[in-house]
Amino acid sequence: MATEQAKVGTAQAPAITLRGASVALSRRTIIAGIDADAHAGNLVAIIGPNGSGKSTLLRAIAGLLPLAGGNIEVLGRAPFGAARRSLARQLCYLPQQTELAFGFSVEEVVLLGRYAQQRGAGFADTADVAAAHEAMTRCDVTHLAARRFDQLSGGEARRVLLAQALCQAATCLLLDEPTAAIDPAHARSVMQLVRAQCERGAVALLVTHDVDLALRYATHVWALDGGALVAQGEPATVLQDPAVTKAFGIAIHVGQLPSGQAFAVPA
Amino acid sequence: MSGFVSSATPTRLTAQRLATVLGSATLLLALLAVLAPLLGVTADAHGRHLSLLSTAAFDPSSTENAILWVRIPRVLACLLVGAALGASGAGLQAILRNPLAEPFTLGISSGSALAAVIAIRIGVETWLGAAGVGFAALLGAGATLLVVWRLARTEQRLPAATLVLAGVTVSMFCSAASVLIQYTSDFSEVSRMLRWMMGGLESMRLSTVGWAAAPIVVGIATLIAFTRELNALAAGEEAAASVGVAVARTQSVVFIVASLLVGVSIAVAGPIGFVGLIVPHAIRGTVGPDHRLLVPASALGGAALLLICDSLARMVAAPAQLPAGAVTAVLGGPFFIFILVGHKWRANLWGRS
Repeated sequence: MATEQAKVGTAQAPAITLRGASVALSRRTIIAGIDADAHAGNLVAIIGPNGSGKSTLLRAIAGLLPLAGGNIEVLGRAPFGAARRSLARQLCYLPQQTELAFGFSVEEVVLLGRYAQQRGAGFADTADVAAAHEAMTRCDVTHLAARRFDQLSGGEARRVLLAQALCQAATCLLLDEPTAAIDPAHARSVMQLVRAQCERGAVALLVTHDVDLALRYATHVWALDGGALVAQGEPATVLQDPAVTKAFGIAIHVGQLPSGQAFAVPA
Repeated sequence: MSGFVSSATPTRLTAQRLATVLGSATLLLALLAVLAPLLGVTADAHGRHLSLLSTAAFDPSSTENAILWVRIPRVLACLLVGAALGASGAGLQAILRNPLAEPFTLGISSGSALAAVIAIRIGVETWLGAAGVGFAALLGAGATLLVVWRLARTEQRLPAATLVLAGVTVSMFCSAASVLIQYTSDFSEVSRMLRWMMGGLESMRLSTVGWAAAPIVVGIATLIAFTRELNALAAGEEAAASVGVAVARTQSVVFIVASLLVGVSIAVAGPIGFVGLIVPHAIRGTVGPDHRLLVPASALGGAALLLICDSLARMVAAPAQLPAGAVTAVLGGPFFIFILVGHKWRANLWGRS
């Protein structure tokens, strides 16, 4: 997979750019006037209370929602209305919830992530199988390969879908609560592998409610409140920003373990 | 034959497995198709018994040859109509992610039945013949398709729930309108309307089969070309879009093509229920959910089911003939229940249940 991983963006040009981005659903403004940049190598945690527009923002960046104003560019082009097939080679998106119809096996579900790379009848070739199995190994779901997807636990299903997103070999990762329903050990390994992708040149935006994971693994945090970006920057600073405290209605305490490792908890 | 083993834990589809399953199914269907026109029921002094046409049937001057040429168009029509219904059912269930999706729930059947009833009421048969009713049915299917489409489509999307809702509503309206027209018609018209609505393939002409063949073959081929996209749609519209599928185009093409397949089938044979619903379910329970295999296998399965049902319709009450549509419904209902109560099968049909 590393070979397919091209460096995205340069030090000057950000991989993802938002300028005054606004989104309305059924004429109700969900996010309004967001300005932000994410560069190659960045792992951005998007935090905010329920209904603050985190998922909507991610869907807009994935090109799944039209903008009501402003613009968004992913690797130099507007994602909404772009050809999905070529977009899928650059950008993968893990939805917050997925309900799968039909009893596909885990391996089949992961291989669906190779759609944009395949031609013709789309029988998985050795490259597809290798990519799928590497993604499954990294998400620790190889042992589930022959199981039916609809019979997995919630956390297992999440990890399988993450493997599907990873085997797309995209350089922009948009992950909506990738660690929700995942046990603490697996949640950390998920964050580690996303971080590793970023260190190899990818850019990741992930929505999370876990402020401790955000502090430990993210390079940046964007905090949303009522559809507006109220704070952005280095994780420890943003988590303790008064605007974030106001948004959550509760302060986030950032401290240090005896080992020197920083941690964050809602105070 | 390992491809036929019920796939409780389905394995990745390979070209080899696809070829094995479709090859064996095609062979079985070909055997059926050769046997069906030779098989009949004769009644004599000793009662009724099954009989095979002898080799004399290949002599153009014999009576048996004449019988053969009555049966052949009917067998061909069964193959075409059954395949169209099976494949379109599989396609509709996939884009709507709804196990109940089929021509009847989407209003297409009721719409074309309404058009046929109107055609009979205003006497289209007197100046266009029976083909006029079939043509009206096709127009009705097309019109219903447009109405349901307009009702359901919002912005760039075709949400599955609104589509089913629009289909059911239009279906109810058309059925009610058909009943009103029947109520105001005379006895002979009503009996022809009812007869048409039962669906049947007797008195099939080779020319009818001829004009129906091209659109059905092209339609099924189009559905097969979209089967990878249908697989991705199983995870939902946004998930499919994010792996690279042009969702709106896939939904539009599959919905239109499947509806037109149904319209052509209805024009040829009248409304034939249950084939579009049970065949994809039964096939999915047998070969797994991958649409690259499911859609062509449903076409073959639909052809086989309709051929068997129509042969039964021709023979069980011979010399009288039953409507094939009634036979598919009478056999299909219990068969579907049998599938539903089979515990191992139920989970295979639609995933978590």
